[in-house]
Amino acid sequence: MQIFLNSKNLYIKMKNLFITILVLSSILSLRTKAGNAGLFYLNAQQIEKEFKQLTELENYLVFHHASLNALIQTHNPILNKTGLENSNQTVPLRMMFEYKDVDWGSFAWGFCCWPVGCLIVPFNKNKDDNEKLSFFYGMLSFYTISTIYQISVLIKAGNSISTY
Amino acid sequence: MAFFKKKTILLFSFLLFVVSFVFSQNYFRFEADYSIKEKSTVDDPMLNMGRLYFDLHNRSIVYDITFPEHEIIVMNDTAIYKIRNNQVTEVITAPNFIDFSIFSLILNGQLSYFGLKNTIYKLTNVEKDNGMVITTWEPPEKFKDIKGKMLLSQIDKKLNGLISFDNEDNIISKQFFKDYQVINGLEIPTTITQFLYTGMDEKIKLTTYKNIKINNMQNEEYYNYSIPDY
Repeated sequence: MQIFLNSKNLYIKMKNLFITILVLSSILSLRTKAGNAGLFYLNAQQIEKEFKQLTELENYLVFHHASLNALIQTHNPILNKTGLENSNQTVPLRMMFEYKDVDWGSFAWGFCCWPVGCLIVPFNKNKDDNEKLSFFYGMLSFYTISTIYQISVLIKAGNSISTY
Repeated sequence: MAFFKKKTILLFSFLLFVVSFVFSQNYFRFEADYSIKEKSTVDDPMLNMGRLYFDLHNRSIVYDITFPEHEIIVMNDTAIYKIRNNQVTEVITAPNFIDFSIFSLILNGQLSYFGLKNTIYKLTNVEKDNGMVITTWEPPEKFKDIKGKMLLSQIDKKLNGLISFDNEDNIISKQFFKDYQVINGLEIPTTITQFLYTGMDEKIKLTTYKNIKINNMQNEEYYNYSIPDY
């Protein structure tokens, strides 16, 4: 009777152990599978949203056969929307500052009164790159002309001293 | 009688050879309009557009870039050449990546496993979940200090995604291959989304291909592009 009870207990213990192992391994395998499948989840809508403006620009370029240079020259608002206006891609083109790009109001601030103009043009977030560059060209022009004038005054003064 | 039997077998074999030779497709050229859009947590957004030409025999990829600026980029087994106004402006030495370019994999019919079957990586696990077959590829023991595993998923036997890990099991890149089109019998993904994780920076790159041509015998000047002297 005792032997029978022992063997029955052993059978129950083995059965419990087997069920526990089975449940644990199933949970483990399910967890592994779910983890790896989850890694391959791609939120296509989010990606579409992320690239919406660049896609708009792409479609515009395909339709109009436009170049970046042409977009910058015409101050096309589509560039502002995409953020390409300030992108590294546009730096070499932005550096091509031409005579027609000069903003004469900003130039005048730089030329006539740069200490006040500093507050109005370069430190003003609403001013674009052309206006800021125009201000600095104005300032540069003022110093160049004043330096030439001072040198000429000094030369004249030197000449008048030597004649005495 | 035995002579006739032999003759019949020989004739049948010959016919089989001829038929298989005639009907087997040999893909060697890939051409498409492409656009690459890039966004990053650190850098400015980027858009690059143009048309690309790949010749399997010449082993070179030629990008005729139209945006942001007109430029030609030639990639071959040893270097990347930047050409502007028919003058080489930059040469960058690059390792041989032509064999693992998506164009080479497509033309060779190895895209479904991203060519991993022909590398040092070994298939270590296969699992099925959510309509995907996910395979795990691991480098040999001696390379485990420098290379991590790769997870590759397929849907309907087509490459769906590829995840690369570093040697510490951190994800370094994810690529998704979507919007397959069948062109000349080849299944080609026309949208590739790539996530790159480098340090604090997360970069998303969206590449699309349109107007794809396979084995085009025109545009020889691009397929056999001669790099100007520099």
